[in-house]
Amino acid sequence: MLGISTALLCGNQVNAQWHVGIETGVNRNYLTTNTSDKPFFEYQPSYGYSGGVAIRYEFPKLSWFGGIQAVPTFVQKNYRIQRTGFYSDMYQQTTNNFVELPVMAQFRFGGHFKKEQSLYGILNVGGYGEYWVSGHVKGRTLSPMDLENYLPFDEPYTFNSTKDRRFQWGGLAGVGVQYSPNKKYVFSLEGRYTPSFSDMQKAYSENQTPRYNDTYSLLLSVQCQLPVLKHNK
Amino acid sequence: MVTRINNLINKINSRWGRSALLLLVLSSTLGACRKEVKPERLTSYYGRSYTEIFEAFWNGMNTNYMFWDVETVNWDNMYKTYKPRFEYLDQTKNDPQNPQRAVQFLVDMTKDLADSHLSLSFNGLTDYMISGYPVTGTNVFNPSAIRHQLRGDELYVPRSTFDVIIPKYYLTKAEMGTGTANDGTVWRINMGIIPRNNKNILYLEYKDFELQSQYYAVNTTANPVKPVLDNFFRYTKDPSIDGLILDLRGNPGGSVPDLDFLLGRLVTSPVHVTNTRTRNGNGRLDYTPWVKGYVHPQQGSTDFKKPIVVLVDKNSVSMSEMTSMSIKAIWPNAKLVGEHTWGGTGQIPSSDVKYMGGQFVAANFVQVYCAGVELRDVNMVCYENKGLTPDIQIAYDTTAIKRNIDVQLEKGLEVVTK
Repeated sequence: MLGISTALLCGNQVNAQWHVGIETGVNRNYLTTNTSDKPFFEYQPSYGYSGGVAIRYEFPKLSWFGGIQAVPTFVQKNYRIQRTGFYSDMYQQTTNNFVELPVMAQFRFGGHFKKEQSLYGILNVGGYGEYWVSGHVKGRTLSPMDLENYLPFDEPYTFNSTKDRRFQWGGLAGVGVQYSPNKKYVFSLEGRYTPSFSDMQKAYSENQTPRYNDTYSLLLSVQCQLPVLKHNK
Repeated sequence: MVTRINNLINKINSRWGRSALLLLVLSSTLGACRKEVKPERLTSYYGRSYTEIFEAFWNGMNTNYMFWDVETVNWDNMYKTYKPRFEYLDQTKNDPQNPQRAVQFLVDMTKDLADSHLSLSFNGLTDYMISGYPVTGTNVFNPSAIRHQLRGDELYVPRSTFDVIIPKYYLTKAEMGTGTANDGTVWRINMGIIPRNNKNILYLEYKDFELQSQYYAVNTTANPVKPVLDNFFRYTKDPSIDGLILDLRGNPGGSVPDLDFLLGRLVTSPVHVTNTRTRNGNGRLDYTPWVKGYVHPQQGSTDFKKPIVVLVDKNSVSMSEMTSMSIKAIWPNAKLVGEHTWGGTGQIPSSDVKYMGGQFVAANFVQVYCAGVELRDVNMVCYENKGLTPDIQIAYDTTAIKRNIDVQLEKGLEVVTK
């Protein structure tokens, strides 16, 4: 894939077009793991948001290929620990903030339907790497020191270098529509699935149960075409 | 070169090229696989083999034990070392010595763990070796108790010191209450006034922390507990009282709510005295955030401002240590007098369900009793397997006590009347 991309980027005969813009959205993150050995306990999904700068490199000759896109993004991937049954008053809402770099190839279907206007269906496929920046935990717990009351906590999460993995990576696949009212602007609406392939935790223990983020996002992007870059022969 | 690249692009721009590229990208991103591990509930292990016993025990300790963040024992090394040994027992399963060998392995795996409450109860009597010494005909292994025994720390202040010598030779207005303790033995409390240097020092001592339950229990003995405690609380408000000695020597701990029951009578607003946390996942290092533990004022409490001394020794453990550190947090000028304490400050929930840690049964072969709540003092100092160092260290004198002189109490009186 890298070789093909490089070949595309190096094509002298191609008038490559740069698009830059912003991409923002909301997501729902699921922590996928196995907690069958812990009764009255479950991980629940939570909402988060994301915002980034979209940079796309398009090849006009390849109308079916939307180009290569990278979107340096700030993204939240949140989850909730919920005790159930008798202990349902106890929970922990965890907010995790990442700086993420998704890189994807964009495939397009459809095309121009009016002069200068186009409507495509898009399929984005690629992967991402991300860096855990910060976290926050808020919730209620119980202490034998205070059996009458649930004790609230609301504090920044302290990164545990033994247990927590700061760099994570995964894949992405998204489908959506892309609309261009003219040659300059491109709007797109996309549903994207980003599964992580790296355990959220370092491999710090034998028999460790892995934990993965599965994030479903709804993303809106506005991109602007930069002036066409003409290569000299 | 340019021509070759253009040719490549033209090839890609064919129908087959597009399909191949799409397939290549899809397979390279979505084809990655995740590792899958399926833990089972501890009690789902039936112990049909020594390997199952080992897995249940190792996993149970891995997910329920509280002190992995401060532990010096490498639990992963235990897995690598002992899993093959248990597997070998399965290969020779008809050997009648195998149950005892399995016990010995579990003893060896846990003998250096820090949790001072940790004990293993085996399903039947057995023998094992610990530090070269044979232990025979028992079904319990308590690593911390063995360590103290090997260090020679097991000398207890005899009950006669509290029940006979101190009431007879130190206390005026001595009051003693008795009841039936949780373990079926006689529960005792001693209270009175010690006049010293023209001051009246209030003295309180009790077998263990069952204060609240003994206070409210139906008591048909000649010396019920409730009047003794009522008088103690009355004395704490008496202007003629100049100080307090709380004697926690040999006190093995007990009920955590006694902290509010006793110290809550001596404060008029909540005071932050400890920090606690529990587990919140099935990973070895999954913990809740630390939350503050308070002593809460009780109905009719007083703001006690007089000097306090707490007598402690090597056998003051658990709630005795929690009470000692709480007193130091509430009254920074209070002094601990005596010997270095045991070092067992974790708390023991009745099961591992509520707090997701603590005691569990592994494959019906061994019952593990261990802390399910980690506790530290207000400054986040951990005393587990370390103990509290008294402000004034003085050893129990077995010779002096024969002359009815309790040198630790004498030192306490000296400090509290200064």
